[in-house]
Amino acid sequence: MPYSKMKLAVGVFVLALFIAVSMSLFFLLKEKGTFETRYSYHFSTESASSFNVGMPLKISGFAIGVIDDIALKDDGTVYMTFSVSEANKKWLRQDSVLMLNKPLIGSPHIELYSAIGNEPLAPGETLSIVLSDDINDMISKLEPAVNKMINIINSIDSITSYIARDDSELMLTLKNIEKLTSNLANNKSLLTSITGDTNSTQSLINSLNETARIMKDISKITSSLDSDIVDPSSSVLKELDAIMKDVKQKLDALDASVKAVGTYDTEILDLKEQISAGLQKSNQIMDKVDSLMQDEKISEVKLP
Amino acid sequence: MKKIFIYFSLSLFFVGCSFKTPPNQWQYNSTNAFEAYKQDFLSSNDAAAKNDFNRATKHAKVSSDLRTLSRIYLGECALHISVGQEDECKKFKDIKDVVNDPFLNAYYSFITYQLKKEQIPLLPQIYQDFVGHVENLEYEEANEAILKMDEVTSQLLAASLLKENLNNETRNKMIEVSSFHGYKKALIFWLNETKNSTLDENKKAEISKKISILNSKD
Repeated sequence: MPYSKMKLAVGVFVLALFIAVSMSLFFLLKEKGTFETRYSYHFSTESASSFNVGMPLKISGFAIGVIDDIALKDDGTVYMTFSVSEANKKWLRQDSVLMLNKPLIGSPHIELYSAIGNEPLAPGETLSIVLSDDINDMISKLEPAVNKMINIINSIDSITSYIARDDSELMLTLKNIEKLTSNLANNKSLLTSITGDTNSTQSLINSLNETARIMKDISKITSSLDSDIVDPSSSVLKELDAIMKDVKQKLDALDASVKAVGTYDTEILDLKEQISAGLQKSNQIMDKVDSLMQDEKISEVKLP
Repeated sequence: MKKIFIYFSLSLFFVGCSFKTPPNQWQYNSTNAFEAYKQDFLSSNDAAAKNDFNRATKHAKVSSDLRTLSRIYLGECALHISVGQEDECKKFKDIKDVVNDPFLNAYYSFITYQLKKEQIPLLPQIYQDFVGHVENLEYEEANEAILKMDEVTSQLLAASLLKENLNNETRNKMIEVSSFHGYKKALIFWLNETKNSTLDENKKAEISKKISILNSKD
């Protein structure tokens, strides 16, 4: 291609590209509503916290406008200006109310509660706003329940301390039961009146004494068992338990290490694959660049 | 306005689609990568040169036609020799039986000092004159033939092959062309050659200083 024609072709291409880019930009901005007329409205609050320029104004979950300006007035209140597009102007009616929503999850926004059916609100008018603070509401609702729980815990505490006292009714009752049983064991006449026979009473007392002796013997046996067999066994078991716990801890640590090594291994493999893919892509780009850089298209390697 | 935009976008799209990739794209890619390798190798861009060479061989290894691969191996060997590096062209030697190209075999013999008389016509035209003079031991004419060559890489290769019988003019010319093209590797080789061939101590010191500046990383 002659040089002059090439220059012309390049010029036309650059011009066409410029026009195409400009038009794409124009249509994009137009669709975004950059060139649309916007209508401003106002509201006042006590504080500007939770508000910011660009904060969306929603109706039924759809964004219809944004806060454009926040200004502090001489009386200390905050004067805010928001704007809506021509298409969304219809939602602003007389007696419409704004509400600031601060959800537990998600960013705060202003919700418009439109009084549909009323007269449209003229641009520049001021609306009233209600602040709804979801987190604080939740805390204030929880407060009585927490207070009640504290009262319950206090009551349980006083009951248990009363029961534990020596002069408490429960303790007195227990002491009376103890007295009664000892009297029952010592007083033959009381037992005779229950059994109706002195011999039976004697036999019962003998049996009780015999039982007491047997219990003492068993106690001795168990105490010797305790010192001769159970205690050493117990100490061995304790040592074994400590060893096993130690082994378990070490195995846990080893397991974590093995798992970690396994994870690193997989990660390294993934990383290697990604690097390899990245290199291949960059090589492809380099091939393209090389082909663009070459003056002529040749398919045979030129030897020096 | 919208219509114009749509028509324009569509026409651009169709023009973009009309570029067709040739079926032997690998050959073009390989050749282009090798051309890049030549530049990077001579310019001492070793990391880039390695990448270029790997790309060139990778593309060449997608076909059973191994002529491109053998030309790459031979080209690499020739470049090494042209900057004074010893190379026996082992890579080419390993596949030369499979390719069995008499032209490439002649070129291989030429760069490894094994050229036979019957192989001379099979050499690239650019070396014919030079080889003819060397065969007849006409070294002054061979020097002149080097200076007359159009390709810088051919000049560097021929001069390197004749380095024992090169005159000062040719050596200086090699330094000049290497400097002009930014072929650092060739330049350092020819500076060293000139330093070894001169008896002038001042010139030797001057060349040593130049080499040390070229090799410094500051």
